[in-house]
Amino acid sequence: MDPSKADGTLPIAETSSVTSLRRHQEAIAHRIRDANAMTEREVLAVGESLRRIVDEARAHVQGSQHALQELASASIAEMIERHTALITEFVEAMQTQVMAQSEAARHATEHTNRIVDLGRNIQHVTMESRILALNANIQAKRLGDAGRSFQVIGQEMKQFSESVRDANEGVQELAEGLLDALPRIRTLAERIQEVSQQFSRDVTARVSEVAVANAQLKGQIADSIAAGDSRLREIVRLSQEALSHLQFQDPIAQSLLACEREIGEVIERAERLVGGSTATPVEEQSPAPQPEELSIESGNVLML
Amino acid sequence: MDKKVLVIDDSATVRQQVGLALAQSGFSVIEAVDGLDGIQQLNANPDVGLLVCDINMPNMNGLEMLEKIQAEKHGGSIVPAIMLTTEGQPELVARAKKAGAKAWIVKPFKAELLVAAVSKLIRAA
Repeated sequence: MDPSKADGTLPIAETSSVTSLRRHQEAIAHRIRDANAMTEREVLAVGESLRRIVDEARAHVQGSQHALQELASASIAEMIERHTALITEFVEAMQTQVMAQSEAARHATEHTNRIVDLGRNIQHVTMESRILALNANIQAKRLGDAGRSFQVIGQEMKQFSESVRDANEGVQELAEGLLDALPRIRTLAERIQEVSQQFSRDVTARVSEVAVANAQLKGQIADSIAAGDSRLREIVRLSQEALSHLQFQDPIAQSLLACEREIGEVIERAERLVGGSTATPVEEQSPAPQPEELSIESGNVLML
Repeated sequence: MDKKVLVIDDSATVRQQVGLALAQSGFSVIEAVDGLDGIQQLNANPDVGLLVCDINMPNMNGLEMLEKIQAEKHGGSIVPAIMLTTEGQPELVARAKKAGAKAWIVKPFKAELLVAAVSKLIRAA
């Protein structure tokens, strides 16, 4: 770049070289901007993908937490308690009815036994009536015509005793049937009571098992969510690490732009030389003083 | 204190990376592309609790922006700022501190350290 003419300007050949350099510089600038735009686009796309990954993971964990909250809001526990209360109420009502039925059967047995006793009394009265009828007939035969009225009484008494005997036999038959049936009714009632009590115990036991299983299930889901939280934190940490690695783009873009500026400055100086500028030639310019750098490593934080 | 952070950087990738790192840690993030835009966003969002600010930006650089904000507050309390920059000259650090910056991070930054610094300053504010 040493001027060879007396007036300090460069020869035409060197002028065209500078013009050629300017064209190259423009081409380089164009490529640098294209490269920067392309890397920026790609890095943004990677960053967007990272964001989606973290969002998906976060949504998954939040969904699980919501499900656990619903589970913990005692919907299942309340349902179990409600149904248990209904079953207990039903069983208690049934037992009350069964006991009332059993008591009624016991009373019926007592009354039927009284009927049987009364039947025996009636049977005795019937016997007495028949004896009276027999005596009346004997008296009627002994008295002849004078005893005709005794004969009528004897016949009436006989018919009466036979009617009462027949009725009493029917009642006794029914009472015996009842006495035979009533113990079976009581036995059945007692069996129903036993079964219902067993049913109540079984339901209580099953409910306890369900409650324990429910608590275990909730514990397992909580553990699973805790593991999900841990994985989410790891995903966030890894994505932040990936973001840190993605930061190559901006410094490289800045460096390339700085190169572009420096090339431009060099060419400007060359152009000034070609145009006869009195500016100090590039190689003779004293370098700009480098600013003192802070002794802080990239990425570290300096609190002010 | 609000957890809204205003990220001011002319690089879309830096804004995205800072924004993602902070958003993943529960911060709400808004962005500005230079100092002028930063002042507009700050005025439009009075609930911003912290600035994360580059220095070298077109139209208005980060230091000029902080100094303008400080001048407009007339000595009143200003939103704390973290400078996130490739620069490291002590005179720039001193100027930033005078303008209200509370921390200085040289790019490329480590996301977890940035998040820790933001959390610390937001809590302290």
